[in-house]
Amino acid sequence: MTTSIKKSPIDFVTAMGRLLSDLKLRNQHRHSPETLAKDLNVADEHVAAFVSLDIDQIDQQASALLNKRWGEITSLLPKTITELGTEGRELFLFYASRHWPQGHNRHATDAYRFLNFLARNKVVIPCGRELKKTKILARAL
Amino acid sequence: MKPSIGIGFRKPLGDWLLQSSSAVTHLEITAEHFFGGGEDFLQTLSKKYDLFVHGLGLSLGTPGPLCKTTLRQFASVAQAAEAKWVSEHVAFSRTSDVDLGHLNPVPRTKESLSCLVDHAIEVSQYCGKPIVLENITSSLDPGGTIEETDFLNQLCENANCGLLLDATNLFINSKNLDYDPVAWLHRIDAHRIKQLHVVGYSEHNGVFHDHHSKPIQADLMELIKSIIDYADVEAITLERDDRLDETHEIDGELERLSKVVRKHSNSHSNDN
Repeated sequence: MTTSIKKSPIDFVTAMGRLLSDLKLRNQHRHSPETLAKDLNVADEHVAAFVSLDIDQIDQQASALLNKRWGEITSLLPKTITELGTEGRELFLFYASRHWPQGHNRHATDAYRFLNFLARNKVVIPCGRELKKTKILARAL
Repeated sequence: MKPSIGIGFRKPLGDWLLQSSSAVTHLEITAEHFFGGGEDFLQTLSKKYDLFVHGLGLSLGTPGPLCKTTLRQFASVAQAAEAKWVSEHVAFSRTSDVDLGHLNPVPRTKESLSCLVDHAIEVSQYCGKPIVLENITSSLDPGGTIEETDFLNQLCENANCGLLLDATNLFINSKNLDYDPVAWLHRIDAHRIKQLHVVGYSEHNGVFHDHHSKPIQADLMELIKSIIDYADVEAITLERDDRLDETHEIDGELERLSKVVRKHSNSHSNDN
């Protein structure tokens, strides 16, 4: 016997949040917004607004969100960012578009997780001082 | 009334603010910067300055209940600071799925309006303080059936709160979306405009941004003059996040604002 779990309908703000945090969904919206609205189970009363969202504007806003995170990271991890050179920003965007830290310590959490991401993928050996500082700030212990 | 001049408090400014006798009469405290403690320091600051508490993460535009932990922490900071009022943005920064970390515009619909009104009232009541709400800047228009100025007027009316008019955001939006900021201003209920935010804008390839780092440009200062000619603003807050060691420049900015206020508040008095 197979059971299917019916997803609850989502509101417009939740749907926007999903688009803003997920490039794949933005690409799906560009291709077929109606299908995506159905897939996400956007509540009936919000489908028209969701479908008519300007996906270029959503892309721009999504970039702005990532750029703001990058700005915070560069001030928390100056040594690591210098060491990464021109690749730093691209690496961060790869990491950041897949991880969304929560809470008021999110920038420190972001920095700490980014350092771990770099270490895990053997990109650089994280600067010990920056690792320690962000771990404390993020209360990651 | 002559508006008070102040600055958004940032930790690197701490010593300067405690020692200086600059034009600053109020400080705007970012609530989230004190979620981890610092109540004693806030009380020290409150002996010298009026304090306002500004939120970044309550996400008033998110449907459903407010995050109780964030609200409790926010109220704690407001209490410790003995805040004259508290403020948040007309925006959402998280949803039930994801914390986007920064401000995003809400659709201008009755549903959003009702959500923002309920949340603004809840924050004000929980903190026991008046609340003012701030317009944001964004290149994203999430749509809606209500004009932005009507939306803000109805929001302030229904929540019985003030508007924190970010003059830089208004200026930037007017440039990026090509409209007249003074005409926009005149559609806002003047008596709701309680506080202003201002900092110089940045421009790159014809697109305007708020990087909170530049001195106030002449055309933006003209908009400030228009706003204080139009509304009885109570406080003007300089928002600087960058080059905070350049206290001489910051002092100069505050003095420029003070001069404008002196001149234009006099014209208010003469009108009365």
